[in-house]
Amino acid sequence: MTLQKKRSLVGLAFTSPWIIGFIFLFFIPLIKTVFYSFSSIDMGNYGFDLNWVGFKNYRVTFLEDPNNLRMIISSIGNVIVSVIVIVVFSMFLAIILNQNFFGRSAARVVFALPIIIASGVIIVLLKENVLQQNMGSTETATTIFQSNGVLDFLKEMGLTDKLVYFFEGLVNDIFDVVWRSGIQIILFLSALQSIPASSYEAAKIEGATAWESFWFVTFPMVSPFLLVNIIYTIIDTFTNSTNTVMQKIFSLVSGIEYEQAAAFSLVYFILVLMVVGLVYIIMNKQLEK
Amino acid sequence: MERTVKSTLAGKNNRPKGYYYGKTANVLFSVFRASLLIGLAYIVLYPILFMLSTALRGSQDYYDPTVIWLPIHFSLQSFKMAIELLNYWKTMGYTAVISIGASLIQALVCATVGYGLARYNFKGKKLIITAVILTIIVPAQTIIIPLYEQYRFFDFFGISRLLELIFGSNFTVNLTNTIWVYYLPALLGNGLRSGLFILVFMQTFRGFPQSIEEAAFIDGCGNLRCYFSIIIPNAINAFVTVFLFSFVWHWNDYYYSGMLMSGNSTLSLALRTLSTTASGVFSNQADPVANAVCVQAGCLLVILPLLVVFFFGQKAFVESVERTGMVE
Repeated sequence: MTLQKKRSLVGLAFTSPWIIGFIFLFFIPLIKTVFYSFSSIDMGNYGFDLNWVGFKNYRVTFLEDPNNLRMIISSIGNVIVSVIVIVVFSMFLAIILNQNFFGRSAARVVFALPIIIASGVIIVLLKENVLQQNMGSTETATTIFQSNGVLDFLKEMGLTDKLVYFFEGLVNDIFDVVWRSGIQIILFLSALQSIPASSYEAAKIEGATAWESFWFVTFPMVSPFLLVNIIYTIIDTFTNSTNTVMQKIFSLVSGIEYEQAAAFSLVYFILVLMVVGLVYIIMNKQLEK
Repeated sequence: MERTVKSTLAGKNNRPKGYYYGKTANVLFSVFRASLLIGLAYIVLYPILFMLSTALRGSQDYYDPTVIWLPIHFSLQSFKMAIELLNYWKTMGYTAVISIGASLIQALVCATVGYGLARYNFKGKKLIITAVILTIIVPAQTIIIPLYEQYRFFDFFGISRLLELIFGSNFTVNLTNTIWVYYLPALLGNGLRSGLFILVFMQTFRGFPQSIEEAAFIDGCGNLRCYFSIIIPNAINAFVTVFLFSFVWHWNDYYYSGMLMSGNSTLSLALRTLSTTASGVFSNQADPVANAVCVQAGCLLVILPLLVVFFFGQKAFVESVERTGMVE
């Protein structure tokens, strides 16, 4: 056996647990989901009994209940907006946290806190609780922090109603934005720290303003992380359990409507994959330029 | 820095035209930055402050409109209630067994797979890396139903079916509601966000100089021994980071446990239903506020171990990306 062959066998041995796991815990279930979505399911003695029904589940899920399709489309729209907001916000905050000021390390710890809490059930409960209390006292609230002053101020400025509502949505969602930017901030922060100080000095000597040195030094250096962050945020937002589509799938499974849940989640997954792929292709082309 | 240079160069009396403007702008910017950060930090800390403030309230304060943040009558009543209703110590022990065990296994297995992908060349490696990325992108919801079936009627990857053909009886095992729901995928490198961890380790090992291993090989070190006694000790930072993240995600997970575990076996599940449990207890008093207070105390109890871990491992979290060598 040549050395090369031996090494490739050793490499396969190192990856073998993953290959077994991938086949049995990912690939076969994925194929099964495709089958389920075309079948009706009965609980058998060991395993499910499938009966082929063609496109019936898709018809029931998407044509007979118009809400479902609308839900998926609006979820994609929401994801696009919130990804842009989260990425811009986390980059902005990372740049600020990268500056020198008193209490910088404490600030970094505070903004890393969402990483350990945000993925849990606590935020769901907290929202329910705070909103319940708000509803009892004042007018109905849909988000934890709300600002009516900003709305009036923007209207005074003479912005169109649509823009005002857009900004209102952003401002009112500040809680969600901050709480879902933990990992993104850390990623950007370490990207910023990897930029050598000499690049900024060179830019300064050449007479670049702060604005120019951001666009011509910081931004290009951070952009590989931008791609990572955007894709991470897209996946995180799509698969977030507070997402309406996710909750719908959850409730379908709890109601033992496996076939519909399979059809629903499959369509959703293909759309997610398309969005991720599209973003990846566009961003990669931009980065290569 | 550059300000001092400028002032020494130009002297105090003939400072450049924009000097005072620049100085004012700097001060204004500091004020702006401080207020922005304090405001955002308030948003981050708000849930914890809210939980503390609510959970520490005595029953006299429930309907007192003057109590907004600081309770007048402190009481640990709600914590006692929540500990009892959550069956806290037992549930926490079980959750800890799941989280610590699964994340240790996960870190080790993901490192092994990542090492294999980073250092060895073999046919289909690119395909495997693509598949790893695919496991990150596909939401758990897509495959959760067949996974449920897999665990409910676990057949040891086909061996039971084979035995059934020979002996004629059913050998499948029900794995749902056992720790194996977490341990098995961790062992096979397909646990909670394993794909991400494999990529992290792959990137870490790629950053290692090849010469360390070459020296070890020349000294007569085998592949396995080289991995365990040279590679792993050098990647300890990446290990700590992956372990901590994995621990936190296992601890918080309530999607998998909601599907594959039953009842209130993990803390997240117990917390999710705490409101219902509590309202059963409080129903004779019909007091929604008492219920909410109890839930907030429960929330604090559930994240308390996480906060402790975060407090001791904050450096690992904040510097996680640098520590794993993701930055080239």
